[in-house]
Amino acid sequence: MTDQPMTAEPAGPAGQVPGRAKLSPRKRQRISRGIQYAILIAVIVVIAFFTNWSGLAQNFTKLDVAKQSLPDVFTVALKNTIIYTVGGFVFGSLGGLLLALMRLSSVRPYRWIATIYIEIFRGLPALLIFLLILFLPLALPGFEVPGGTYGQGILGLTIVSSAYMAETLRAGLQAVPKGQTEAARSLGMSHSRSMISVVIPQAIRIVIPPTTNQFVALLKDSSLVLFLGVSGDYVELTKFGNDLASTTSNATPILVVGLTYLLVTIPLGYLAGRLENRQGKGR
Amino acid sequence: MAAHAVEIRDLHKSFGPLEVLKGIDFTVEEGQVVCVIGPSGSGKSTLLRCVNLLEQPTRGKVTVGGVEITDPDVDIDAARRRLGMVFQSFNLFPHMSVLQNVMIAQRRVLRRGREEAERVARANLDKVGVGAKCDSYPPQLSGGQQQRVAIARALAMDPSLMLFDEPTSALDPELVGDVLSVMRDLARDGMTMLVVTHEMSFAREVADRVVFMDGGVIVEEGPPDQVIGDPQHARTRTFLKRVLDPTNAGDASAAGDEGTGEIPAV
Repeated sequence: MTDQPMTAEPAGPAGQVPGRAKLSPRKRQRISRGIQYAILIAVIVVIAFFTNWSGLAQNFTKLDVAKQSLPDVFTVALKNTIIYTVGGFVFGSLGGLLLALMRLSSVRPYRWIATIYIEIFRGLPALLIFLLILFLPLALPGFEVPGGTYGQGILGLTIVSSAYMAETLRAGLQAVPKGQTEAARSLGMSHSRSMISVVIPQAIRIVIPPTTNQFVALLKDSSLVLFLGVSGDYVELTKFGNDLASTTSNATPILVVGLTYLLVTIPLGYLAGRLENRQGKGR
Repeated sequence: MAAHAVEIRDLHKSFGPLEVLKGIDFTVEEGQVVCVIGPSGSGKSTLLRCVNLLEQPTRGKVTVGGVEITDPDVDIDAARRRLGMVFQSFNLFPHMSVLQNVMIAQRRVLRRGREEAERVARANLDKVGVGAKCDSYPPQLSGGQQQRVAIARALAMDPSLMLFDEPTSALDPELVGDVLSVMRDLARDGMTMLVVTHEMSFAREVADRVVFMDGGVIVEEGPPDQVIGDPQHARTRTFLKRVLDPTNAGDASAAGDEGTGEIPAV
């Protein structure tokens, strides 16, 4: 908890050696630690004693149900989750870059459009966007999102992620020192050429770590695709787990699906940390 | 010869309410080396940056090689191609190798082929003494090496005028000499150079003309032996005393006001 002494040291009476209290800070800290460990162990014991382990095992770790989810959990569900996520990420990055450049543009209407878009779609829940897409055909009869179910799912994730990516990339573009642009322009490069050759490549390097986190967030948001009413070959992980749990009346598929998410997100988080460290050294 | 290499007429530049340049007139002739000296905040860097339009002058006219840079319809990218700029903080592109740094503008701006660009890049890197560092990245180099790469990068564009903005101010003292000797060689080869610097010995040795600026105006200009060796204005004397004899800078202003004009040997 805290390494600081809990109570203020009372001023020692005259004659006592200063800094030599009855209990030294080290001893007090040791006692405090001991109490914290004791409480921790007590809590664990109580939880272990009162939990219905067999009930949990029955519901969450039935091996035969887990086997039932194979291989579809990987070949269909995980594959679709990755398609939705990567699609949303790629288009979201491109849209985000465009919005970031618009936001930093000297053309005022561009700045307005980008700001309005970012403020709106960063402020809305992702779920609402998916419902919006679901009800789009009502507003625009005959309109169909290209790419069918995949297209709808990717569109929803793109709308959300481009707003976030725009802000991340804007920060990255602004973090590139002004001297870089000045050097590029002094060599006779046009504004757009210096952006393409000098500023954007450096900005992308700067935003790799936060972008990795955004990818993880997007991966989790892809579960919202289930609100589009996807079925069959188009289900992603969460929908897959939910369906299988219903048909088998058992929660094991939820656990399987959860582990599958972690299989992707934990290495990604680790990768983001590595990239961040490497960048810290490079600068 | 009608066209000056650089011609500046009645140049004014304000940043908001702050007037940094208050009417500058001067010219640089083909093949000349002109050093601009002066206290910090005197506007000398701003003046240099107005010459390649990194700063947009508030008023006045800048003509480089017969092309009026301050014309609103000028193709500034084309004009800058003939101007090399070297910055105090090098401003190399950190995501490119040394060779790529020197090649990128040749390829993208001059549209040179890969082979030609590489040949020119290597020649210029050899010329400034960092030919062995082609495959390194800028952060792996010392400041002196980085600045020499920056000079090579500018030279690769075959400029007719080189602008130096305090090129040695960010360097460790023992690395200054390498950069100055490259600049000295350039001057000897006949390059037209406009140099903002605090290196008085360099100015004295290499410059054809020295311009002393203070408070946004040119106080004094002339041959180095005159401006640095025998300054006519009290402000110039005060400044030189501070630069050349910083230990006794405390009584510099007094000495300057008395007008003894005693300047330590450079």
